[in-house]
Amino acid sequence: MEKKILIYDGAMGTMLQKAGLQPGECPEEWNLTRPDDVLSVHQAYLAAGSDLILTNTFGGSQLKLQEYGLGSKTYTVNQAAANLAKRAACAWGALAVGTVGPSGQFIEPYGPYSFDLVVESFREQIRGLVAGGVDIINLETMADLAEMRAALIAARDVTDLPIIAQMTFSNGSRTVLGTDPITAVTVMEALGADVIGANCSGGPDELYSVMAAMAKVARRPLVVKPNAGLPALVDGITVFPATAADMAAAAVRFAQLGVRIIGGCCGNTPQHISAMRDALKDIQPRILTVQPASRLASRTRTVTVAEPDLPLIIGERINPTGKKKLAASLRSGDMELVRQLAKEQATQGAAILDVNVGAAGVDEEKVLWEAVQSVSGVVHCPLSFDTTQIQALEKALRLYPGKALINSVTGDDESLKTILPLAKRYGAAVIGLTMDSDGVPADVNKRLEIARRIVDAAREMGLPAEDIYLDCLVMTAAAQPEAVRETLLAVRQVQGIPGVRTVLGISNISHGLPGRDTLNSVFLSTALANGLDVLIGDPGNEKIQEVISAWQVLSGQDRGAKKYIQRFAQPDVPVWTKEAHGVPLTADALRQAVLDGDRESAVRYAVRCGQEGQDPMTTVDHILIPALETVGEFYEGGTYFLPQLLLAAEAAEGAFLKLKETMAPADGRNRGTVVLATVKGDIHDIGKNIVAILLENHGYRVVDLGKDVPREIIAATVRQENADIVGLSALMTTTMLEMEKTIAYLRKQGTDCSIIVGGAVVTPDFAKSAGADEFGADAQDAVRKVTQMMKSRRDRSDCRYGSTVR
Amino acid sequence: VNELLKILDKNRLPGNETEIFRLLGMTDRDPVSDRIRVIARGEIQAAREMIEPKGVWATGLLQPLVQPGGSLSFAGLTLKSQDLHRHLTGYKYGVMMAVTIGKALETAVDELFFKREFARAAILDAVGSQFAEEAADQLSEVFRESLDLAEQSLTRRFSPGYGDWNIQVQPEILKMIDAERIGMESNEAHILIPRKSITAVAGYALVDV
Repeated sequence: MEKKILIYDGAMGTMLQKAGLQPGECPEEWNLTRPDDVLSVHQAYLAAGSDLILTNTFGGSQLKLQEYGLGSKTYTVNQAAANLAKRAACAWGALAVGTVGPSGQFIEPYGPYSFDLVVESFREQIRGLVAGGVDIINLETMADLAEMRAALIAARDVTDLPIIAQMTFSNGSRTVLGTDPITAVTVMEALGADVIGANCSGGPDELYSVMAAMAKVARRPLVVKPNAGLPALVDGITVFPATAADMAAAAVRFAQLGVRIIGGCCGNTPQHISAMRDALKDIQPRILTVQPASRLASRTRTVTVAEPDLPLIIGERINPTGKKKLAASLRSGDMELVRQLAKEQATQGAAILDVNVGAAGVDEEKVLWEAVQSVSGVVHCPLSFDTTQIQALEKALRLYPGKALINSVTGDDESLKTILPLAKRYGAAVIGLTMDSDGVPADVNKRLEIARRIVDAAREMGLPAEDIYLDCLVMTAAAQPEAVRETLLAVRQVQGIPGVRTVLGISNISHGLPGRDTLNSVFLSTALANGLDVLIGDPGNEKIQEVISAWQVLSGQDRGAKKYIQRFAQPDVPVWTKEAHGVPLTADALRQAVLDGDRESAVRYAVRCGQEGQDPMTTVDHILIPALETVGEFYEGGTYFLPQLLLAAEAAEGAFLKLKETMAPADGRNRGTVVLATVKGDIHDIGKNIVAILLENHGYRVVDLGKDVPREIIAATVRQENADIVGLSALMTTTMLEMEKTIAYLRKQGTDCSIIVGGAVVTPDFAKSAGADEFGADAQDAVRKVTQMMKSRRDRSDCRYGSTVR
Repeated sequence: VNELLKILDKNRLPGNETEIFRLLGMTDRDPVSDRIRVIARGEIQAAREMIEPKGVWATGLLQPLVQPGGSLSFAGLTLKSQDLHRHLTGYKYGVMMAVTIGKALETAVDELFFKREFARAAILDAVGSQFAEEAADQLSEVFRESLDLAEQSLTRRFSPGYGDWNIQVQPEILKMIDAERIGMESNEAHILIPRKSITAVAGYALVDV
């Protein structure tokens, strides 16, 4: 593998169809009933140059075979398939790879299968494959990260053979359940996959971006097995458009990217493979060197503990210690408050969330997993499992579709022996407390020794140092003033162990003293200066956030102090949007109503915000506008579409109109005046109407002149209304020219306004050549551009003001 | 040039939901929430009440013109477009058609915007576009059946604005087939009025020409 790029094989199913496999017939059954036909497919690929061939067991899991009434034959079918592949491969000096495809249904909560059922189904299949003599296990076409985890766990339970793990992605970006390539790599590597990559999907072009993303982070060799292009349905038959030459050219691109095993999935034939083999013949494998990194992942997001985001915050507030309301709701199994706390902390900037459900009367084994599921449903943050109950920890680790952080292990033998194997088996990272059965040593050297003991024990288990987060333990300053220095020294010294990360729960420092925020923030800044990477704390604490922002500037992470400036340019978030007595907040309900596009509820909650004594302008600025921004993000991210965007706009407008009734007349909000028009000759105004709605919702005063508007009227209105911005729309190539003329006219009239243009046929290049200042690709983009334009207008006028003062 | 005016059967227009959602920026793969589907079905039903699909066509000889850039002449009208030229190459006859679903729907869209029901407005607008397309399909079909043409012997329709065919040709087309009869006109920017209207040309070959 070091010396040459290995060639995988092509599709099995289509080859069997050619040999007479009927629709509705089980392809895997042929391993028993028509072994010669299966053998011929293997031989065709071997003759075409495959170095590895896959067994005919894509649908060979117990659950999948059950669909054909063959569940009880799982072992035999797979063993027979392995035998066939091995026999064929041996003759050519190639390797037989036992393949495992998805079970056909998603795992809970997205589908009917329980995680354990799926693991058992894969285990039975892999046992058969191993018994039949395969050299490698291949897990493929997984769209669900949970199912990939189940397959990896099953494979590792059964065998030490090398494992190849491939997921399938849509649109070149994420799996259908939202997992991105980097997260797939993070989780598959943590669970011990030896080769990782992607297969099936849309074809080589779509998978190129996936593999490029993987190549940046993967520490294991990469594999790709794309479909022969995006399938099209022609006369009722699925046709794959990529020719052998296309696939050969794609194979070369993948090789240049650093992919080491290349083959084809659906639609690829021995001709395709042979062309790939020829194209790759003289290409040396590119061995990627990727530095190890500390990563945690949820199903949909990977967090890397690295600059420019240090220190990361682990949100600590999902913890019932000293919180009666939370303890009570956990006891009753009500997860609303947990979800609430998760959403708040994520919005406030927590990168990771700690989940602790330990309270009297709570069955942790049941409740921890429920809490983890609830939190995962509302935020993307990876999680840290904070429990002393081993069964509860194991269940959460087993079922969590990501790479979690265990909080925590100590240097005590018993703890190391229990926790580290769990971390290894379920692909988690772990917080190592520098204490043991004798308690927390006062002495730095002793803490360092324990730290080494933890890292060594982890290494023996096969856990890299990058997955160890050492917590040197914070003592209360009031009780042990000398211990503060020891902790800081320890934080500094444990960094002598290569790869490890440091973490501290800082608030303990101020226990029992007044002015806790001050002590906490000074201690935090000192710890940061000593190299702290991660802190466990309350992301809603302003002081802590300020220290972090300042540190990111001083440590050179926040280049040009951009984030810092943004932070201090924003007015403070009013306290009442934070948690209040554990009741679902009106603020959040209003926000949700906007997200749901529920006008009626939005109006109702807007009224209630008023009844609770909130100033209407604050409600607009801190709830409605941020909610619309979230809607905009969803729209741009492809989870919301025009109808949802407009329903949300209706809801926000309903709330706004209600709030306006109680505003003082002078208390209007006006972020700027925008004149909008569809230019003369053009009578399309849907797009422009939508821009108008969104701008109004975002607090702009919009003067909408409608469609078919002569340039003279636009210019006159701009003057009369003292407009800041003019937005022009045109949908046709013929009216684009009128747009250009209108801009020229406005400029000639000496109007000072900024001009933005948009419409179906308008391009950024045209916008520029026509003399516009900005181009709006769609309504949402137009709002963002208008906001930027207003900001730079304000900055400019500030400059002018500044110079007069001087 | 033969001329025919057809009142189209609006109840036979399918009102294809997938296409309507595509016009709203959603692909087949994107999940459509129940709520939006319900709104869309309501608008499709409402649209069916208000539209009055009508079409008119004229047939004529297609003759390639020897001119740089590739144009062709259709019943005396010059069609300047290389793409159209390519599309109709090999066909001796052409049929020019104009279709509209009338003005009522766009008025309703404007009213919905005015009533601040933005989502319904945008969806109804998309429904209108789809019905206009489907009306054009129906007109092609009626035409094809009137000549008893096999399906493959009529090309797909090609409209001004496709490829390099400039919409400046609209007034001439409207005039040639007297589209005023079905209430169609174009403005100074050559945009069709009512907005939910289509003009198009298709080529066909008669057996044994």
